[in-house]
Amino acid sequence: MSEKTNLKEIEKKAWASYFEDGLWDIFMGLLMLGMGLQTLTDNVWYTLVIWVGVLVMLVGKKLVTTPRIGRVKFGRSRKVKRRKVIAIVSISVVATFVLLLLGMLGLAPSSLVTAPVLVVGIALVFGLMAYFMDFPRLYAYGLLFAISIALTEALWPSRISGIAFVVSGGIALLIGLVMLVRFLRMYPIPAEMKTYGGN
Amino acid sequence: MAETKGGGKDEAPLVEIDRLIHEPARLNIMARLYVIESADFLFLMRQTGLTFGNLSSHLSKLEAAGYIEVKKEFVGKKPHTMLRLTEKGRAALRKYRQDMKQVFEDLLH
Repeated sequence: MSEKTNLKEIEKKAWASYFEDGLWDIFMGLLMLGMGLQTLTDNVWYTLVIWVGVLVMLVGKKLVTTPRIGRVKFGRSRKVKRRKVIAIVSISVVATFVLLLLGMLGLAPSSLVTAPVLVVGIALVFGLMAYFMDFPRLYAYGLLFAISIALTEALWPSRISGIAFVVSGGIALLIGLVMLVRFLRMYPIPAEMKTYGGN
Repeated sequence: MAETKGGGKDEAPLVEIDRLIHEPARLNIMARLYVIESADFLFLMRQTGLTFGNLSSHLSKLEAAGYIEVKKEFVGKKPHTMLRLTEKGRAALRKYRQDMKQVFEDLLH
């Protein structure tokens, strides 16, 4: 019995090592920061911050994380969970586009109806993602995201409504940067790997 | 434990313990490979906390026994070496676990 628990723990520890680099936190931070700055300034160019977040995560995983902690292929159950996360993200992207389209056509229901649905929906999406990804910090970011949406809706149409997203994004970004620095210190590229040119 | 002809204890379960796996560092490597599909050298080094030379030497022994398989893959255009536990290795680890359980059960009986 205890052997089973230990093997499960070993697998969980291996999986968790891929979240030690803080890149997901930086991505979440830049996502919320981009949304907040865009609302505060009404400048659409700030949405570029979100794409910087995507780029940081993709490039960072390849150039920072993998050379320091190596490459691994997880088992079948992780692959199934990954597919579930992809499905959740795809469904929420489609739902967002439908809502935006309805809004542009003037067919969207009152914000008194859509705002609570949006807040609960966001919390649910992030909650499910955190669960299937085994990534506890994502529950907290989901909560911050949902609270920021609620405050933005409550303060709308004032431009100051974006402040909640800026603060939430700043918190996530700070956590991510601290984790990244710690990760870089903890896992320098091993000298042997440099000598042998990888694996 | 059963009594043998000479009056000593029957040591069969202890003798059956796979000494290759019984070594702590190799057991650590086997356990880590058991829960995943495959991993590269660096990942194993980080997870086990073994040094480059130490891990290399243990992997060679496990590979010679047919417990692990070294697979060359391409990541983009770069060749990459991945390590995985063979079916023989998985079965050996399961048997080791069973044997050890038996040893302790007999010992504390």
